[in-house]
Formats: sequence, C-alpha cells, structure tokens
Amino acid sequence: MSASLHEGAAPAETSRSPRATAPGGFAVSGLTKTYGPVRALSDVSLAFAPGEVHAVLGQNGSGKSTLVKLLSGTVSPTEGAVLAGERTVAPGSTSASARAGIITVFQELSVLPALTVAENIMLGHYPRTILGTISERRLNARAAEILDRYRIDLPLGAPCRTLSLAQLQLVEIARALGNDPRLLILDEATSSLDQPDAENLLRISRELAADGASVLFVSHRMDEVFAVADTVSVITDGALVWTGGTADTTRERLLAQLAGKALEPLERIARTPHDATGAPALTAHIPDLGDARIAVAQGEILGLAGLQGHGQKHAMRAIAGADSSRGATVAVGERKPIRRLNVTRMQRLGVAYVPEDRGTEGLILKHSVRLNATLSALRRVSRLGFLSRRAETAAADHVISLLSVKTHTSAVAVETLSGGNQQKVLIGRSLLVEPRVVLLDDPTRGIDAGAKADIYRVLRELADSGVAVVFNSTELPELVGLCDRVLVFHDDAIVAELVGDEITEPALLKNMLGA
Amino acid sequence: MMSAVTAVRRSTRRSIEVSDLLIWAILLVLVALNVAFQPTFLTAGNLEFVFGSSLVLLFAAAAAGYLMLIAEIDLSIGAVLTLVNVLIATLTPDNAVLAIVLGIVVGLVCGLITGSFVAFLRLPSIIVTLAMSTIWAGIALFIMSRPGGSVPTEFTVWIYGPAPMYVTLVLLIVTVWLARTPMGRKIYGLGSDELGAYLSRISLPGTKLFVFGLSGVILGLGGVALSGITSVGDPLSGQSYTLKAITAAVLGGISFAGGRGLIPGALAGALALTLITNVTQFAGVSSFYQGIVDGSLLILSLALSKVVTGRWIPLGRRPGAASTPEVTR
Repeated sequence: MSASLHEGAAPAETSRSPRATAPGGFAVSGLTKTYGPVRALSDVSLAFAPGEVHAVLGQNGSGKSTLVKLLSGTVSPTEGAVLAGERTVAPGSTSASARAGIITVFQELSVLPALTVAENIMLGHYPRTILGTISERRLNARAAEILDRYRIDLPLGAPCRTLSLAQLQLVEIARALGNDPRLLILDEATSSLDQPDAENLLRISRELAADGASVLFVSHRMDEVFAVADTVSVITDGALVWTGGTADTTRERLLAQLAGKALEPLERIARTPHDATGAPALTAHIPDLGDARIAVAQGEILGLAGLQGHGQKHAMRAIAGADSSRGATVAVGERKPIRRLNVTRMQRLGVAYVPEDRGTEGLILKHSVRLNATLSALRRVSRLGFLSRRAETAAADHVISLLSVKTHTSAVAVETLSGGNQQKVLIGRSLLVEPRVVLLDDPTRGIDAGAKADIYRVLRELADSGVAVVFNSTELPELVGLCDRVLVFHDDAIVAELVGDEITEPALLKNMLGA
Repeated sequence: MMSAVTAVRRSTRRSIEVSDLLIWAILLVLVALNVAFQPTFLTAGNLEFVFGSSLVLLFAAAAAGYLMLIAEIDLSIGAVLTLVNVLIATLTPDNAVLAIVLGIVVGLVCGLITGSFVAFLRLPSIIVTLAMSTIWAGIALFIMSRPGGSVPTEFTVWIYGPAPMYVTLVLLIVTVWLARTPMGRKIYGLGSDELGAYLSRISLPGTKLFVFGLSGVILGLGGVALSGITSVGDPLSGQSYTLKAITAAVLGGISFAGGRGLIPGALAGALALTLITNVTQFAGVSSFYQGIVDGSLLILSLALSKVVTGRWIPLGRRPGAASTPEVTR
C-alpha cells in the first residue's frame, strides 16, 4: 500500500562498494528559513566537500538545528536550496534528501520503540523470505555486519523500548551508517554517549570522510570539534559569521565568534572551599546501589559521577523518587528517614527534582513558557483558588530573568525555544517553590556552552544562598569546575569520594573506569 | 577500558512479553472452568459450537486490534457489521459467493472512508468512528427498518459446522504472517512512535490507510459470519460487538497506546469472552445483566493489562529509556 520504503530487494550494502562521489559534494546556497517574524536562518551558504568533516558551531537557538532540519528535509526553506552536486534536492522531503544520500542522526531520536534493534537498524531494507516475511536470520546477520564494521555493540534482538538513552543513540547511528550516507549529519550525536562510544563515533566520522563521504558534525563539545573536523563554521543568530579550516583558528577565537558572552564558564566559577560544618540538608540510603549512603550539606554542590549506566543516574532518580529502588530511604534535614519516595512527596519536603528528558518528563511542549514555568507552583500563582494571570506572568518573568531565558515573552510555546532555553525553564520552575535541596539529572545534556554557563551560574548562586545542589553528569570539566564534592560510581556502587582539590579529571576518570 | 564497546553479548534472541502470554493462561483457566460446569465441553460438536458463536467476535477483535496497534480506535465496528448484514439480506440473499464478495467490498469501503479522514486530515479516530457509526447504522436502518429478508442458506449451515474452526485457523495464520512482513513491522513501528516513524521515512498516511482498509475487510467477513448467526437481515444485529471487540483486544494484550500486543492474543481474547459468557450463563446470571458484565469486563481487562505490564506505576517510573539502569558496560 504505502510505497515509500524501498524494501525487499535493496540490501543495505553488505560489502564495501566504491561510493559514487557527487562531484563537488553537497552545498546549501542562500538558505533562509523564517517562522513568522523570526528569522531562524538567513542567507546561509556552505559547502560540504567530499572527504571532509565539517563542524557547525552555534549558540542556543542560533539556527544550527534549523540548518539540520532543512538539509534532512523535515522542513522546507523559505528561500534558497540544498544542492547535491549540480542538482537541487527537492525541498521539504525527507525521502528526497535520503535518496540524495543525506542521512541524519537526529537529536530527537527516531528509533521505533516497538521494533528490535536489528529491525530498527535495517528499517527500509528488510531481507525477505519467499513467503514475504522478513528473514530474521539475514536481518540479524546484516545488522551484525554493520555493528561489527563500526565496532558498535548492541543486543540485536532486544526491543528498543527496553534500551537506555545511550543505546538508542547507538541504534540511531548504526541505522544512519547502514543507509550508506554520502552526507552524514550528526546532530549532537555524542551528547548522550559515554567516552569510549563518543570516541568511536569520531573515529567512524574520520573513516567515512576518508572514504569520500561528507560529515556534518554539530556539537557543543569544543574538544570533539578540534579532534575530528577539517572545517568549522560558526552560526550566530541565524547568520554564518565564519567558516574556515580548523587549523586556521583557535578555541579562543571560535569562542569569541560564538557570542559576546564569555563562553568558558568553568574557569570563572570560583569554588568555595567546602564548608564541613554545613548542616545536613539530605541524607539518603540506597541499598540496591552497594548499600550507598549519600549525604549533602546546605550550601554544597555534590556531583554524582560515573560512566553511562554505572548507577549515578539511578542514585539521583531514586533520591528524587523518580525511580523505585528497593528499601531506599531519604531523610530531609533533621527529619526522620522516609520510605516509599515519590516526586510530589519529596517536593513537599523541599526537595526539587529536574528530570533529564525535558520533552517527555518535564515540559508540556505545546504550552506556553508561562504555563510551564509555573506548573509546579500553581498554588503560589493562585488567588482565592483561581489562577491569577498577573501572578503567573510575574512568576514566569522571574524565571526568565533569573536564568536568562532567551524569549521576548512568556506567552510563546516552550517548543519554539531551543533545547538550552527549555532546560532553563525546567530548572527555573523547580526553583519557584524555593526548595532546600535541588536534584538535577544531567542538567546540561545536549545544550550549548552559553546556556551551560547560565545554568552553572544559577547553581553556584543557589548553593551560595544555602541550598544543597546535587547533580549527576558524565562530563568531567563540569564536575571539576562546579562541584565541592564528587561521589564516583562504578558498577552500581560508590567507589570514591573526592573533595575540593582532589577533584581532577584524571582522578575522576581513574575511578569511573574502576581502575 | 573498551568494555563499553565489547562487553554486551550480541544477543539476537527476541524477548517475550508477559502481557502477550497472560491471555493464554486466562484462556486455559476458562476452558477448565467450562469443563467443570459442562463435562461435554471438550467434545468436537461443542467446540464447533463455541467457535461458531465466537466467529463474529473473532473477526471484530482482530479488526479492533489492528487499529489499536497503530494507536487508533474504531467505535464503528458494530455499525459496519450491521450494514454488511443488512446489505447481504437485501442484495444477495441467494448467492453465498457474491455475498462474501459484497461483505469484503463494503467493509473495505467503510474502512477506507473512515481511514481517509484519519490518515489524510489527521482527525482523531475516536470522534470520526463515533460519527461514522451513526452514519452506517443510519444507512442500515434506511435500507431495512425491521428484521427481515434472508441470507444465503449456506451461511446458516456453515456457522454450526466445522467451518468456523478452519476460518479461525486461517485468520490466525494470516495475522501471524502479516506481523512478520515489512508491512507488519511498519504497523508496529508507527504505532509505537509516530514522530519517529515520520523521521524514519515510513509513510504515515499510507500505513494508516492500509490498516483501516485491512481492518475493514476483516469486519466485512465478520458481517458475513454475523449473517450466518442471524439468518436474516437485522438493523440492530451488530450493535453489541464494538465494546466486546475492544474488550477482547485489550484482554488479549493489545495496548491502546499502540505498538504493543499480538493479534493472535486478540483472537484468544475473543474466545475467552465467549467462554466467560458461557460461565456466567451456567452460573445463572440473567442475560438482562449482560451489559453490566460486558462493561465491567472491559474496565477489568484494562486494569489487568496495566498491572501486568507494570504501567500502573505513576508517571516517571515507567520502564524503558532513561530510567533503565542496566545499560552499556
């Protein structure tokens, strides 16, 4: 019935075939996209040469996501075109882009939860038996071939709804690679991966380039950009401000081009010496993580470190009441420990929780910033039991100014903001109720340096005002730059506690790897 | 050091979900109960009767199940069954082959019309099918305002013979087959994540329209089976099947959220419902209370499916994505 997928005969190249390299590679010319009065992207022209890894840098809402969407055909441009060699790619068609060889690893994952890993990787290229059914043996064999070739490890038969975020990202990457990309777009694909997998992806990018394909690499991680890219372009406020060889520029120059804002936030946050006399703000006991006991004092920033999946995230979510954990107890302040934790109950006790997945757990994307910012504090913005528009707006404006959320009004839908600004709204919301403890689950995942700096600043200010801050992260510089104390998890247990100057990248890494 | 890349065993084993097994356990218990009440239950003659009286519901449950797999719902099941029944009694009272073709065509057309509103205009199926159900029922009443006419006599003979068992077997084979084809995987993929399916270049309108058409064809055959039971055209004959079909699908482990469950489960659910009705009759529950029983069963099976899949736990603790601790090592 629907003939959109070229399934059946076409195998996802099982042997390395010489790629038909488009002469001149891919390019965008005069690309412009406006949403109402907002110019998301204006007159951007860029070339993606064969054999080249091209990094695109930009702040929050600078237009780089728009560029990715235009290239992949999920939106059509207001003006300008995407070119494959000499030919124009039909605008606004994901199929046309894919046929031209433009394959995107989306930031909002397109992995289908009901299908297995192999079925997702091979989507659109299912090998069939004579009965018309999918040959599971050949399907798994071909998917395994792709995974082997790129050294990715995944359980092929597992339904994707049971996978972790990092694994889903790997499925997404494997699928893109299986589609034989000639322009591979990696839209912050490393943000949810841990170090070895992220490094593997950088190596894969180089291999593809060496094979004559082009790679468009969108990332917030400056280290990765310098490690992998030949060319780097900077987009600010929808316009291209610089493009050139990575060798011809420096980290400092790029940072300066990115914005007027100083973008090395980590250097600027002076760590206050840990005040050992601070009254305990929260004490947790989590039996199923190696009988872990976690205590945090008022005014302290505690980091939970670990490689993806080593228990630090579970610890965070268990304390917040977001994950059930057998026998876990939490004592807030001097109170008695409580069992049967849940997010609402913890919030009533003054423990705010900022979930990781803003799209599904935190924000109601189609609703306004105002509504989202006040959702946890409805009582505060009500008068006589009715919501007061004035109080709502005042509270939302407070959140907007506190965290420097980039929007002209609190009336716009949250989904129109960039990821970093959405995250700020989410954090701001939990602060409205004036918590004594703030728990943040990987608060800076997939957001740009500018937004990170704002978030670091707010967390530091919170701690200075006596609030206890706990967050988990896989990013070493963040842990080193921000934390007064770090608990390192390995294999679902705490293996080290680092305080003050002991917190260094080598020390963290050594313990995270369990060495 | 490189453990994250090498340690996970590359298992190709497909995991089996508890929610897909539950219905078979329920079915087993119900068979045991029926045997206890009626020692002759497992005789060939009686089994033929059980399948015969379940056949309409078997078709209806499969039709409901397919739509639920793509996170849509059909509230016009009963009306389509009725319409087919009435048309057969009016247009093809003497020709069994023509009547079957008529049933398939009418079902397909109904499904495609409803499906077009959902697939192309993106209207919510719950409202569209509710509206369509009164339209189809209205047409049926217009054609035949009271029970009358006759259906091909073969139907009334077949329905009490071994034929329904064979038909069920064919239905089972076809549904198992479809689930293993690329189209079947698209149905599951689309149902589990519509945006993801769009980004994966699965045609949303095409796949949805296919499922509505398929579900319509199955319903058309259900209307043929219904004619065998009523033996006349009856403008109210199909009414009760909408609720029962959805109940059977839910009991069979198919989730309203889409992408979860197996159509054979829905078929087992349909048989289970028939057996439950048997048990209530043996227990002396008056048929006046059938409505109360039917409605309660839907709520109960919905609650049961939530408990079994662990999805009764409050938001934020659902299994999967971000919260699963066992990840890449």
